[in-house]
Amino acid sequence: MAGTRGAGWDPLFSRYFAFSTLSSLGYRTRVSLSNASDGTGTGEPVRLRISVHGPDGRRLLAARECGVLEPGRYWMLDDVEAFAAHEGVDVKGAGGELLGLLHQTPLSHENRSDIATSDVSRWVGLGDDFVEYVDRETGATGGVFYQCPPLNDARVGEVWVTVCQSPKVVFDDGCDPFVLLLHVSTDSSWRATGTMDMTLFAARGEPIGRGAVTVPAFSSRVVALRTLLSASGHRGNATLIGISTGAVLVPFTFVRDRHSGAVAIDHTMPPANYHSAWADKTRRQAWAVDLLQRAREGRR
Amino acid sequence: MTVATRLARAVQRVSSRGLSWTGGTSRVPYLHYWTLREGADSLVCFHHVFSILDPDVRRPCHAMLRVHDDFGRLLVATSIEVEARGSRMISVRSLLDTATRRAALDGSLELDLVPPEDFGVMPTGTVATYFYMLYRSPSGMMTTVHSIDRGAVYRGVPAPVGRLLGLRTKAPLGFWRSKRAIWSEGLREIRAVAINHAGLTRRLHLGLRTVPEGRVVAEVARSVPSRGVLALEYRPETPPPSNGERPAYVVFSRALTTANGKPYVWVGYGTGPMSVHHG
Repeated sequence: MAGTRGAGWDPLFSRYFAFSTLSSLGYRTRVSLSNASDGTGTGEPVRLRISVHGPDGRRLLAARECGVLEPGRYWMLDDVEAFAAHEGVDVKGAGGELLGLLHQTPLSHENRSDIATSDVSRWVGLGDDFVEYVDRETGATGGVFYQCPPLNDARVGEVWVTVCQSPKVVFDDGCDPFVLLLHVSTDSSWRATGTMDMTLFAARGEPIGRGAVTVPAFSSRVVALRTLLSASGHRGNATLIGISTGAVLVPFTFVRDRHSGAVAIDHTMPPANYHSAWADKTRRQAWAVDLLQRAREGRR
Repeated sequence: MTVATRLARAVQRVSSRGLSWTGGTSRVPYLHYWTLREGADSLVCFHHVFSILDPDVRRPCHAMLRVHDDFGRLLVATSIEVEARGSRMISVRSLLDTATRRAALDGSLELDLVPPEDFGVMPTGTVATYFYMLYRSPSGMMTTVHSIDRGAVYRGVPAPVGRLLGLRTKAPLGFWRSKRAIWSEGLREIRAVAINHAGLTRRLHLGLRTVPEGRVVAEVARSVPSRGVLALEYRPETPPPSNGERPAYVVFSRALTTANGKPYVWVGYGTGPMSVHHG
């Protein structure tokens, strides 16, 4: 990440954790985080705030303070939806999922307009935060660790593209697979709309369905992958391939057990993790567009 | 800095400029935890990543899967062909049922994805075989986590080079704590699992403490063979004291000497199925 001193980094995004609710599927949302700055030798308290955005991207709750977290300490919020409702957000009437932003601002960053991106890197690198979904009927849970780097922000990059690949999609009578997409930016003026084009490939590589979803800035979407299938009766495992150009959409695929409500959720792996050839964003975008074009045209 | 580490760094510098001199693409296998406890199956989920990222790849790739028991003994080694754009969910339960008579309830496994002959987009560099494990049971378990642990030996290059490259997987030793606080209300059970991914026997340690109080409620430590498993199990009888704050539990290790592995942490609430996170 190149340093851009004077770019006016918003202290709310010095370290942050973006997450979605899954209310439409009957879950409440629990978040857990740790101030791990004590492990760096320069521990510093962070001020916690939560903001909430609606399905259209509009901010429904401005950053509401939740206290100060000392180095080495933990913080949890058991019911994000109840918190939002208590703060006046019409959770049930929102018409979709809420996007939550858990801001963790180092006290030395408070009230400053001269924070460099290099100052932010240290805080991003402190590790992951955890979001957990609790089935309101059964109490079954499932959660995922991840960290949120600077995203969709011209100060740190020109090409914003997501190539999503997830091989843990399964269709059978006992479960349902989904994809959850977050569209978040560390630039509060970001207004781009993201679109994820998706294709499902069966175990032997043949395309078995496709579709697209549009996600406004500062919102999230859940897509039932069954709705993408060309033949609704398909059974077996599959891979979801998705591409979004012009905006990064953070993808999570998950599978829900129909009876227990347990949810197997994880983020997808960035392409560059598999091989350094895909660290080139422009190149991997071109390959992914080519791949999905071939799938649409029935070419291999 | 040891001679071996200096040599490893030199090899890594050379490898970053291209490993074509070794005669092939280097590969780093990834490792994971499998379990059949509570009636679960462990499904190894991976795909033909080469043909997804490079649409011109047409040939199948091969997955090399090695399954070990909780003492690190090899149970199964098999090769699986995957068609271009294809994927697999390999059932560890089925694999063990057909390939071994030795009973085991959990252990570790390694997946190594070998690129096809027409993978020519970037013959240099290293293939990293990331994959997912989906844990599922008839009684409703449905949980997953991706692999984060690298194998200690790189494949696809001469063995001495592979061992040197593997040195980069060495983790810093010392105290480690999970970044997740585990909500205590309704908690039935915690099970933390550490795998010794090092190539030799190591002494592993796992602990569980309350927050904010900081009291250690469970601890286990012993020598574990390479690829073996150490587990800590805890069933709280009463909620921990809170001192006015929300009580919770945190998994920690006094010495994470597993080469590079963070523990797998399983939690169960009420009568519901267990779920897992890694780290």
